[in-house]
Amino acid sequence: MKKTRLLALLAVLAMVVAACGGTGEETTTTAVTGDDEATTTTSDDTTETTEAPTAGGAGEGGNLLLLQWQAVSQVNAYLSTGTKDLLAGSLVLEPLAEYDPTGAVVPALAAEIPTVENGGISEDLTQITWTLQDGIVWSDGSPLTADDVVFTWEYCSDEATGCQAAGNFVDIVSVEAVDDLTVTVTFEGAKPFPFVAFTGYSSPILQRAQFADCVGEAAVGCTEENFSPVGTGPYMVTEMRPEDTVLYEVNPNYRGFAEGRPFFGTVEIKGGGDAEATARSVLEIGEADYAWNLQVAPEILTPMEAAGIGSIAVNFTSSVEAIRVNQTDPDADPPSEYQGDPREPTGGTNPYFYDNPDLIRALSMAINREELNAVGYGVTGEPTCTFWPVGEEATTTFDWCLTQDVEGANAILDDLGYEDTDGDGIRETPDGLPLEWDYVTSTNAVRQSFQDLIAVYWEQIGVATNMSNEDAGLFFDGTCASDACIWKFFAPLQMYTNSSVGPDAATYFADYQCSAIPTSANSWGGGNIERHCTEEFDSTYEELSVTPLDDPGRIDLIHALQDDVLATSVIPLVNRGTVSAFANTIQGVGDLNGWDSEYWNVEDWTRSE
Amino acid sequence: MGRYIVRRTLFAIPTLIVISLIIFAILDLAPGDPTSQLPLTIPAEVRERIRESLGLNDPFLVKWLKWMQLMFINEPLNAIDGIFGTCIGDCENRARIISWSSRAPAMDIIWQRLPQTMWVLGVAFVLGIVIAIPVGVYSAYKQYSWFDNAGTFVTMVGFSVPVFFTGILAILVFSVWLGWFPSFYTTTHVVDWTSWDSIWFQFEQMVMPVTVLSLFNAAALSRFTRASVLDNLNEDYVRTARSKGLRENKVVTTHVMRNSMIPVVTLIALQVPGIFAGAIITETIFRINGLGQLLIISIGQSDVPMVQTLTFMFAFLIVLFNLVADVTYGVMDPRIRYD
Repeated sequence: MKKTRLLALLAVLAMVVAACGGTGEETTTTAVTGDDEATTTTSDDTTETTEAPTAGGAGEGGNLLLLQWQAVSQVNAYLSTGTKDLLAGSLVLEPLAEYDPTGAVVPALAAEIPTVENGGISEDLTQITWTLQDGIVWSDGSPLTADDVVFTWEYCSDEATGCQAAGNFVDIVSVEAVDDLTVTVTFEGAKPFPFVAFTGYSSPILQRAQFADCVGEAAVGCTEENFSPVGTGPYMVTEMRPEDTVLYEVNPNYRGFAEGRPFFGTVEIKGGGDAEATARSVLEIGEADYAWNLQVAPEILTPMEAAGIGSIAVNFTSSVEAIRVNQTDPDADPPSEYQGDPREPTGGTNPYFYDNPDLIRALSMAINREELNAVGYGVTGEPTCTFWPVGEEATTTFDWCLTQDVEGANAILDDLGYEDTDGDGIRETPDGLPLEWDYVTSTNAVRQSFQDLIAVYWEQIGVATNMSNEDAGLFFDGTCASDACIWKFFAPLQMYTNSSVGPDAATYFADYQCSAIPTSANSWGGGNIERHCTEEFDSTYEELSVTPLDDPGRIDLIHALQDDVLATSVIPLVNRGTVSAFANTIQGVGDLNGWDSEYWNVEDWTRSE
Repeated sequence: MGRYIVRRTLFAIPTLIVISLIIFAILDLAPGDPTSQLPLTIPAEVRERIRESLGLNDPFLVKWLKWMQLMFINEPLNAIDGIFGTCIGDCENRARIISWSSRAPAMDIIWQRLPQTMWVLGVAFVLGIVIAIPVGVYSAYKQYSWFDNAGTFVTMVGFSVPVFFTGILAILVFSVWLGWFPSFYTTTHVVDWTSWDSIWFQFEQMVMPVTVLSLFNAAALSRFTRASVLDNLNEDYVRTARSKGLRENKVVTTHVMRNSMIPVVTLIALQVPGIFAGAIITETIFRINGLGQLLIISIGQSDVPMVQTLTFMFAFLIVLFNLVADVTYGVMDPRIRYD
């Protein structure tokens, strides 16, 4: 009797709960859709009305809450361990020039961008002269001088500092202060694109007065300086909790202060959690203004945006997920010596891929990139046929790859004489080698679904793949402690994303020169992981590296270099965008900047209520 | 007892040295590179220079001895100086254990994070005990009653549903749908005890993590308490107490409780290091800057000095609280003598 009563009670309770849950959900969804329409229309209206400069002085906009799921370790860009720290530094430290969202170089601390025409760059392209804007002061009130620029070079180029941007300074012979506002940088040779050192958020200017005792081995002990550098930017660090939170307040000595910039009085960068949780905070809960680097599956991210509180911003630069094709033979014996210049007799060229553009063409043609993108990235990616999908500089030679053509691919393989002679569904080369390869990538849900799909596409053209994946920590381990690292490339095919740090094609393409091949002799240092090595590439690259930026022939050289690499060594798949989320109330961000700090124009951000 | 404690303490020293060697060896053998988060385009020689500047290329024994010196001599000296405002030896230039990713002294970062860990995990721990013990005792006393069945159901759910599920569920319900509580913890908030707003803010941000954690802690502990009380309720001494005419209240609280709490208190003492070691998953979900979260972040960034220091500290606490548990056992049960 007692028991039945209890059961009945439970049943009633369950029904009540279920009913509540049901109605609750319904009401929220209707409310949300209603809100959604309402907010989109109103926010559109407000965008127009707030185009006019916001009234009121600098720092009156309250707090700006930025979420970076990878928490900030420290604020000094030169000792950073990743983009997360560079971003935190970019609110405080400024370079001489910045990259805008299109990749163009725009002045920051410099009065103007030096060119050959205005005399800022010498005729032989070996010298660049920067002129600082007059009247810029550090947040402590002392003036910024050319000497600080010289110091920054000394700081980063000291080997014992452990500077992550040392590569930016490597070909600089001298940095000299001509007067208080003029500084001349001399390069080893011609440098058609000199906007690497002192440009962008990875190489800002440090104050000599603050960092003078922090050069070389002393850099490690300078915790206070690294946590709270004196800068010229719109904000100053007030509190730094490593791997957690950074608090900033407005810099009253900022050059835009008198004109009412920046709008926000304080900024907080909160770290921790994961990409999905920070996306939810901005898009669904509305408790933060910005969430960084949202590598979240499209089927999770897109519905979050439907709540109508925030929106997703995507920027495309050069982060291309691609299959890398080994030009040397991974089965050569002994394996540690095979990895050399494929033209050398000891290089051991790959029996399938070396100088065989038709095979690569067939493999590329069989891939359905639209489908791959829809599965892996959705709105945050787009199919691509080059590893440099940057505006006009992207080659269009391979644009046929956007449409899958299994028949065409089969025809190419037939023409090559690759036929399935033993009836196992796998083609063989005329020499009897089966078209069957190991295909390696890092352990990652999206990459594994890419592998699965590509294996199916290639099965249709008689190509078999043995898929495997390696832990990302080992795969991308720069010390190459294990044989799984991408630089050793002990496999015929591997897949990962590479991207350029700056918008200069010539800097990025340097990795495909024969001299950049990683080998056991150079401790696997070198960016030419595919072991792409052709006379044409090296000679064309030589030409590009002395061609001025404004030379009309430059773009043809950039196309030719891409075509050379794409013919044999790289099968691009998807251009992966940088994805961030902004609250709908945040205005003035403009296009998301993929080349520089996403906070590059934070002084222009405002909030509309 | 005194001799026993001294003997155990002395024995702990070689144990800790062996532990530090093992931790060191595992981390040294494990692949991983602090420069691995830098863009692929950064040249190999720059990476090499960074590794060089971090002292990564020293031989294993050199690194271990250096670390031992820092951990057992320099860091304690620094702590003494910090507490008493003294300056022993060359205190200005004393070497510290430096984190590779933040380039700050590892101990300072740990020290900075302790309050948050203590706030959230400590409260959850105490709350868990406060809930678990009465529930466990009453469930056992009224075995198979309505209360016991409900208690069994709730604790089984609490015990078997993982924190990463309840935590995310709580965020979904109370942050996303209802909008009552923030989904993450503002670690820089300093509670101003004179301001209701400030106290309320702290309360709001603590509700979800504390509830999720204490539910989990209480579930295990109340099951344990219930079992222990049940064992004792059927003992002869309970019957004796009742037949002497003692009131039921007295029988349970004095006779049964005292005896059944002996194993429970031991269990609680053994769980104390867990407060410091942190609740890795809960801290990550709610973005609390506790020590567990720090450990996970440091592992992700291959910040070896930080991982070494943290794991060693946890090992130290576990050794310490094992000793504490043994001693409490002796105090609570006069029959147990270690000498």
